[in-house]
Amino acid sequence: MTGERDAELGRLLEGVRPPEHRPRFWDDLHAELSGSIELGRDDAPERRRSPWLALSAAAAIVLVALAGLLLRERGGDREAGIATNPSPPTTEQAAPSAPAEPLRPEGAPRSRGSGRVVGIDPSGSFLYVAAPSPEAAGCEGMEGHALFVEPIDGGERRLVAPATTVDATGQIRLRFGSGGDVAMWTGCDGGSGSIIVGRQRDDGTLSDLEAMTRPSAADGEELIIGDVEFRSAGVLVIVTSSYRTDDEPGTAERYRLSELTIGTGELTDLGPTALSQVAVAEDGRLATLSPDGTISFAGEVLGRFDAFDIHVTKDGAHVLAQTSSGVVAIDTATEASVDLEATAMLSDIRVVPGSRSAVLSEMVGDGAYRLVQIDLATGQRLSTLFEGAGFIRDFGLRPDASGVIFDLSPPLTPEEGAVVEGGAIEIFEQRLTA
Amino acid sequence: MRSRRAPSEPDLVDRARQGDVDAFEVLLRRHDDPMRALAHRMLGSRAAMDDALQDAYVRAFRSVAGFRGDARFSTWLHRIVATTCIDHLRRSGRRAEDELGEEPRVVGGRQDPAGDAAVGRVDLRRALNRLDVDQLAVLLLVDGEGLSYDEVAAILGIANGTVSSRVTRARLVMRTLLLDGRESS
Repeated sequence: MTGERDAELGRLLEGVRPPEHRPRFWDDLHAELSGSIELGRDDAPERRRSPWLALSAAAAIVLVALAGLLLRERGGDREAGIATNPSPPTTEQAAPSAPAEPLRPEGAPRSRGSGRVVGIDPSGSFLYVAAPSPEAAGCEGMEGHALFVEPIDGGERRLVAPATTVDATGQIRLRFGSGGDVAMWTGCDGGSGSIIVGRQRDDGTLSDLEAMTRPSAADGEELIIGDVEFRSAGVLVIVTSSYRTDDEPGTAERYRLSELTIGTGELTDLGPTALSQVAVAEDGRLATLSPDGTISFAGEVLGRFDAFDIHVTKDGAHVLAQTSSGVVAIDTATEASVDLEATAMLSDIRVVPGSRSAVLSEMVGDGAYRLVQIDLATGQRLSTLFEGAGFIRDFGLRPDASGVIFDLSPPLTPEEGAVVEGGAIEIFEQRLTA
Repeated sequence: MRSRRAPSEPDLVDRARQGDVDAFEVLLRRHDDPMRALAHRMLGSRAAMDDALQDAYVRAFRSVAGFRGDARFSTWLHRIVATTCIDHLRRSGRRAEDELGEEPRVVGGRQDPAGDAAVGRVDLRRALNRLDVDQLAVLLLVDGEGLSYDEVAAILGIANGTVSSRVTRARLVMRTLLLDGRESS
């Protein structure tokens, strides 16, 4: 849907030209960004940096990170075809979950060294991390990172694959399929992502790595890979968005789905759809959000919500919808929904294996994060697993729920400035007991 | 891997992600005009505009490391600015009446150079103040910034249908107030 501007109102509004900034606006901003602002100086208005405002900003930022992909109208039947044709579960269990029991932190978080969490394999044997490496070329001046693997219960951290094959400097997402299949998508920035497939060896390293053909952009457009998931054995579903590089107002993004068959390399464009967002359960079933707020799962309508972002738990038991007033969990079997406690700033979610609960990361302030366990049936918080200063970029749960592993960037203090180098990001594990 | 080149927006975003303040400020200055327009129209005074934009820009910088490029940088920044302005409005109530006189008054789509308070004159700001915050944000983005419903939906994190309904209601309120003003003048 594309709206048209009301020309008369537009002229009226344009008649009120915005003033220039106050004289020291940019100087003050530079000082604040550099961590050395002097408050209340000359004509600068009094700074009002309430925690509430910080939370709101954090929420906006998280929502951007979560917003995912807005799909244009047309061809919705194709998604329905995908959703109603689920394949067998690939890695994690899809069995009905047990009632949620609170997980309790056991001792203090333990450092596992520097790096960023990329993922934990479905067996719970290996932790994959992105860490600085001189062998990685990096991108655009960023310190190069490579993908490493380490036994989750301790042991040597090893390079997964040559850094020239898998560069983990920018974003990197690792997906596990059935039978040892893995897929990654990496990118220096949103527009230069690549899709790499391979197989997991017994020692956690990857073999048979191969860069796959990725969907291409039309002339004058840039294409971004939004998500890649195993839809079934050997088949990936790829969500992309594209936009015109001239960045002209009114050039809305176009969203498409593609399917990639690993064995043949065949890339099938499934086209744009009437959906505004999709999320993929572990077994390939799709949760979808339509522009009118209708949320469906596996082709079945769950209801209409004032939602703008959705997640689905890996087992497909719940769809979580981010609304303007918080997060709602919808039971996909009963269609019952419940508001989750204090998750207005949801950042990411991991379902607790074998339990009707999930661990969420959420911003709780200006530079503070916490990990909380929420009962998806009642919406109540069961436990706070970690809370501290800094930014959690990613985290993973051991499949037996005996620990949560997360990376923590230092808080952006005035002394440290805003620069967070790769080596400064540290991985911690908080052991848990049921 | 791409070769080095003159700083493009993706280059600057990458550098900003690594904490490069200068690169981030270049990005901000490139996009500042529409952000000023949005903030000023929403908040109604330069002081409020500057306050909100400083908040928004600092928040953006603190979070740019997590910007994945799933949306255009301008959309991402618009969203932070819009959300910050909404926060300011909700926190402070509405625009202060005593700030309404800062801008030229408008009659029938044209600025009135005299700017006096003639009987029946329609004050655009006063009309905007009659909108609720959500309607105001949508109206300014669609009719003020000329963005599509898709873009506004992405910026505000709402469905396209919600954008449509809010802008329709907002236009109705504005047209009623503007028309009333013209008839009484």
